[in-house]
Amino acid sequence: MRYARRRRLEFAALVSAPVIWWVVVLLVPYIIMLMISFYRTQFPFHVPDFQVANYLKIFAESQYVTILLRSLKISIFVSIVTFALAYPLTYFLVFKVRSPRVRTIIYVATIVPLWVSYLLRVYTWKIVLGTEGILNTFLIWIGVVSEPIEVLLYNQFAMVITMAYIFTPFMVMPIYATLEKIPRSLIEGSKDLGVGNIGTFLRVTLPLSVPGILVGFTFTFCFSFGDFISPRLVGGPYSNMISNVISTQFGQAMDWPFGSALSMIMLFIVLAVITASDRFERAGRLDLG
Amino acid sequence: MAAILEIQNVTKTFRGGVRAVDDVTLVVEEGEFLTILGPSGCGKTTTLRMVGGFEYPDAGRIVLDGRDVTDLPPYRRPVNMMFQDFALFPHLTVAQNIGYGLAIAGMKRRDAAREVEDALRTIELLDKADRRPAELSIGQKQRVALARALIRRPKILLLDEPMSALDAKLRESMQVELKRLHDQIGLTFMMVTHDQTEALVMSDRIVVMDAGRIVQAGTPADLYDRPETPYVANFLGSSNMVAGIVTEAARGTAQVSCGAADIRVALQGAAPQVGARVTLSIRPEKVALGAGNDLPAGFNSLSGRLRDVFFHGDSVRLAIDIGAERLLVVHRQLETGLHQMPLPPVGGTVTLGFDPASVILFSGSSDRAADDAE
Repeated sequence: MRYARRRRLEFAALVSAPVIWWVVVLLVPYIIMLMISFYRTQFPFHVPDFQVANYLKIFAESQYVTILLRSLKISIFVSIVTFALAYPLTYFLVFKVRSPRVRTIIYVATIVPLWVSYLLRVYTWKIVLGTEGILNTFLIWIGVVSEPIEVLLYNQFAMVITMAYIFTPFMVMPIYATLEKIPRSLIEGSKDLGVGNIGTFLRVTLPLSVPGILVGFTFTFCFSFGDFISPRLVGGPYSNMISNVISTQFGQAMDWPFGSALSMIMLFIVLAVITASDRFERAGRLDLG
Repeated sequence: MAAILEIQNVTKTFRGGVRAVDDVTLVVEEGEFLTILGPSGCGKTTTLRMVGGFEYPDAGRIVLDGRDVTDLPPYRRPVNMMFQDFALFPHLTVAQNIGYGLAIAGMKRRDAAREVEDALRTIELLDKADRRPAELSIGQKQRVALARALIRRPKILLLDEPMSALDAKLRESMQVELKRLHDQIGLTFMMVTHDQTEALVMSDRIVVMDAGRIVQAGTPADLYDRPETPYVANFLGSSNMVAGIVTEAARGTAQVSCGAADIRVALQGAAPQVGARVTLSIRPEKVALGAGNDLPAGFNSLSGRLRDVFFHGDSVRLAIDIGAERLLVVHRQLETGLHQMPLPPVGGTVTLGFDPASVILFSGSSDRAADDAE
């Protein structure tokens, strides 16, 4: 009895710190944000209230719908481009690179940009794609163009490229983990049963890596959906994303209730994506043992 | 019988310079149950994988049913493998697993479905057709793997340590089932195992490998009764390895002095030199206990001191000091007990008798080989 009580106390002591932390920095802010999203704005102040005008405004004014759709479009593009780059790379790493050391080196080289400041990495692309940038200089040097071309930077293309570069590690890591866990005997078994390399890939390797692909897509989609650095630095005039609008509401516009409502919508979309992906992943989860 | 598979001077060296298979030549007859037996790392699995197409030899040829398949990928070879971990596809149902190789073969969907159903009925898993492999027991998984490998009617069924995932009970019944299956369908089976009992029970012919080479090949009885090296004598069953010196050699027999014991040996090969160091292999079950006066003429008769008794349930193993370098292990079946003499207490004297023809003589003191094998 006494022992059991002591164990309970120890347990409480152990978990109380993280629970308090979680409540103070996550739960309370969410609740505050939810409350403010129902407030009324009397510029430059907001007054407590309970009304849904802020939410209605999002869908009543076409500019916000446009920006929401644009954010969705950009995030989906980023996810697809990242996947198209990351999957072949990861497949090559896991199945074609024989030396474990070379594999580790390439893997770490892919992941290591995560340790570099995010802002810095976006700036890097500004340097690469700019009119005085490396790419233009190179194109002029090899004679493809005579003048620096401006279409490379300050548009949605630049945003997609930049974010795809930045989020590649988040696609590579989960796919690597699933591909690595596929027993080689399954691939050999498929070939043994008369199925060639491409058939084996489509019928065994790809289906078994779906959980990793889902996680990668979820990460990439959610990160790009919430991004507001890339639109600002490399995106140009028609690239505002939902986060840029939100940050404006809390800054120059001084419209916290509307900003909170936008944030709630964004939070809802991200949670919906995570839940859906989790469902799929659970349904497809397999015992590889 | 005709040869279905010829492995001709095949050598395989892995990265890092390990020579896994070293100039192996082996002919497999159509319809036989051939087992490659050896400890891990002896090259048996690599040999099997080269037949399956999962490894390519550095030198030599593999001829399957008259066709050179040395450089063909697995999906172009008319053989199928049952994998050690069964390699069932976790994302497919049992029926889809079994039918996996049929869809590709361009078979009509309806025909394929009927074949799968027949296979499922044969392995008595019709009710599990739509289950995933993870929901099956180990024994059921194995039957699915077997059905999947057989459904394409391969020229040879390759079995890579097929019993290693099973527990002892299931293993025994699967040995019988596999052997029966082989006798029924008359297909060539090529199995790899490190388990000597499995090899002895199931095979028509056993090939013993060591360090990438074939040491000896023959029927189970051949290998057991006439091992050519101490390695084989030790790997198949257990054997007393007794070191000694030849004191007499003539007319097909030799007399060997092993410490205090003198042992007569019926020679199978050339006579050794008098004074040569030799090793004798004496099977524990070939030695009769307490048969002092009833021994047939010419039998070895020794006496020794009982040192230890190990109980095995249906039998006992006795460790007896006959004055040689090591204790002699003697097997005694515990039967009805009717005609068995009572054992003396530990420390007491026992008499032993055995046929000189059951003793195998190896030249040289081959302690290394004796210790290497289990």
